[in-house]
Amino acid sequence: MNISARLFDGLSDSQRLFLRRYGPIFAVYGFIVVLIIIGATQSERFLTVRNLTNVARQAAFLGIVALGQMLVILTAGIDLSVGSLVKLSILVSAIVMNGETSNQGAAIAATLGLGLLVGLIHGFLVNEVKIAPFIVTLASLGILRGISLSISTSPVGSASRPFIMFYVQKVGPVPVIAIMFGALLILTALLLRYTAFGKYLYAIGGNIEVAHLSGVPVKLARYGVYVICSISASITGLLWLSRMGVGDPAIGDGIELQAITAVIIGGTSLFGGRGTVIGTLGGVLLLGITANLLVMLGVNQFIQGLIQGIIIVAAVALYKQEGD
Amino acid sequence: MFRKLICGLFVLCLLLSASIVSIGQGDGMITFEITQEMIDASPYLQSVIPRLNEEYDTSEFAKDPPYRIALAAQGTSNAWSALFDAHAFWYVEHLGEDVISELLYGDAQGKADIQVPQVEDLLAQEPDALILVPMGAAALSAPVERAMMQGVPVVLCASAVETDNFVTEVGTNLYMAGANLAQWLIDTVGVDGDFLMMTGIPGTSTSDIMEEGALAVFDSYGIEMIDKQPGFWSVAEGKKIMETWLAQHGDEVDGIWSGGAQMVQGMISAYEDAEMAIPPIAGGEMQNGFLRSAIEHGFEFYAWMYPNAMITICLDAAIQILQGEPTPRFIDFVDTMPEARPFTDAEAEDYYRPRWSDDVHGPVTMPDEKLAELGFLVEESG
Repeated sequence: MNISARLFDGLSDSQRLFLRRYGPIFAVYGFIVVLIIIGATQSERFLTVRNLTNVARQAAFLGIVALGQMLVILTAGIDLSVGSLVKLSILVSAIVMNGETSNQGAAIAATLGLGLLVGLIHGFLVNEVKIAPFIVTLASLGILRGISLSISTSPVGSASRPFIMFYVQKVGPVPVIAIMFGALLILTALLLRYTAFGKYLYAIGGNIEVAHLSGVPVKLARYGVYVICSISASITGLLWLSRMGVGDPAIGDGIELQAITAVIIGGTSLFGGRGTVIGTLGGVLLLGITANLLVMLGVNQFIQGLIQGIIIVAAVALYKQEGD
Repeated sequence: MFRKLICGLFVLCLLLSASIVSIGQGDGMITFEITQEMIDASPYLQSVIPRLNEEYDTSEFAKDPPYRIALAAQGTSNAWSALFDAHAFWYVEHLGEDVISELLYGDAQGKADIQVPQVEDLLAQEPDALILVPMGAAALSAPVERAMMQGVPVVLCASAVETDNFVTEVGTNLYMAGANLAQWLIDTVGVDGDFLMMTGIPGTSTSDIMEEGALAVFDSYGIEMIDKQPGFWSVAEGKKIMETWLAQHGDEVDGIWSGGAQMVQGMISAYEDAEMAIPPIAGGEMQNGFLRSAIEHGFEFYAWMYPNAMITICLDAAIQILQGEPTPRFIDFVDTMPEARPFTDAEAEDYYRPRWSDDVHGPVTMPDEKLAELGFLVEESG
């Protein structure tokens, strides 16, 4: 008898179903509560408005990429290129903006356009050339990184003053960037719950052949998710430009793995067809609060990798129990 | 009257040029003269030279001790940074809790994209001062400006940023350091020599500025490198690149400029494997493994110093700021740590420490017991 079977003894079928579906998400949020308690007891500055708003703003950077990644993974795909696209987006936006307020619109349009183009190429290769998403985006990771480093290996371009100040803008105590992330979370949740497009993604991830036979526009939906994922990476590139003020090619490496980690921790199945926005938010917050807490406690950052590894194994073990 | 004026101007020019040439790493045997043309071409020199004679009025930051100081460090990614951190924690303990009550610490793992959010995490704890070892001159400029905007004075330690909006920088004139290494190589080998160049981590100011200074000197003699590659301050990377160079250029190489001693260790190993004579190398340091190899192989070298113990000077600067005392805007560690001056192979034995393990970078200001605790002392044989 496995652990979940013992845990579910004495529960009704509906209660079991509820716990099986949402138990792991409760576990993630439970772990977040534990971290908050540790933070609050170990550092008097952990629960200050300044630190909490700081965590919220930092969560947006990983969160926006993770939302795009989640949509791709829901269709049983993956996008390994988001880190390299963030890198290229920072460079493109910084070069086009070149410190001038008048260039802001053009820089934003060029960067989002880049995301759109990369997403369409990914969609084309996956849909029309029938190459596995892993291979397509792995190649793209190398190509986009190569293009970025060909443009420059040292910082180039710059953000305009208002664009830099956007990073510290707040509405009351809440950073505008955190509000923007909140809005994207709600939009994605609505998209998945109330639109046909959202239902298509679950259907494709569940069984692509059945979805196709059922009349789901598989190709169109997959173009859609790769475009959204790439645009989310480009938005993150713009946020990084606002954060640093220059186009630095050092940024972006490893973001794809962080995003995939957050999505997995949040309960989205790597095989597609299952996942929630609230779960992904949990994964993002868990990673963000862990990083913040380690700095608060002065812990060596190598420990962070160790902790993340343990969290992933624990999360996957929970989902395995659910599957059984 | 006119003659006196000319004489006065001449003396003033001499004093000015002397002050320029003597900034950092100029107390050794080589002093390359910086020209106005070089200053015009270098944003780093344009930033450093005016700050040499400036002081920051720190009265706005004055407060009573004990202080909470944030240290955004490179992290324990190699022996240099491990000893840097060890010096920091030892010195805070040495000063006592009535001076520094808490050292908030951030470990960037040598990466700018980790350090930027970490600085935000440290600032969220409202420290009294921030000591930053920037992992990218451009990437950390905006975070430094935000810290100053928040009212937290910033001390740059061991590396620079691209904004001038900080209180002070502790380091040395990296441009001069790179230039002096190049000048020694040219003096030793001659202008007709064939040279190779291995830099540190591209994008870090320490590496980029040293490279800039060296190239200015090589350019002034019309010398073109056979090749230039980044060695990432790594023994393994240094050896890998040197092996390729030896395969490509064999014994054509007359001299090598290196941005760090770890890479030279790798080069020595590659030469050893190829059973070839090691040419003069500019770019050693007081790093015990390098010194041991250099003594064993007996080649000509010129070494400079970049002591990890400079963090103690950075902490002193932070305290000085919080006490409201006027603080120089550029603090050269050579002024406080005179032993940290350049030297050559003739003095290798004087700087080698048999009891230190290979990865110790000197000079070390911690007591031996601390080094032993950290595993940096080896058992004496016999």
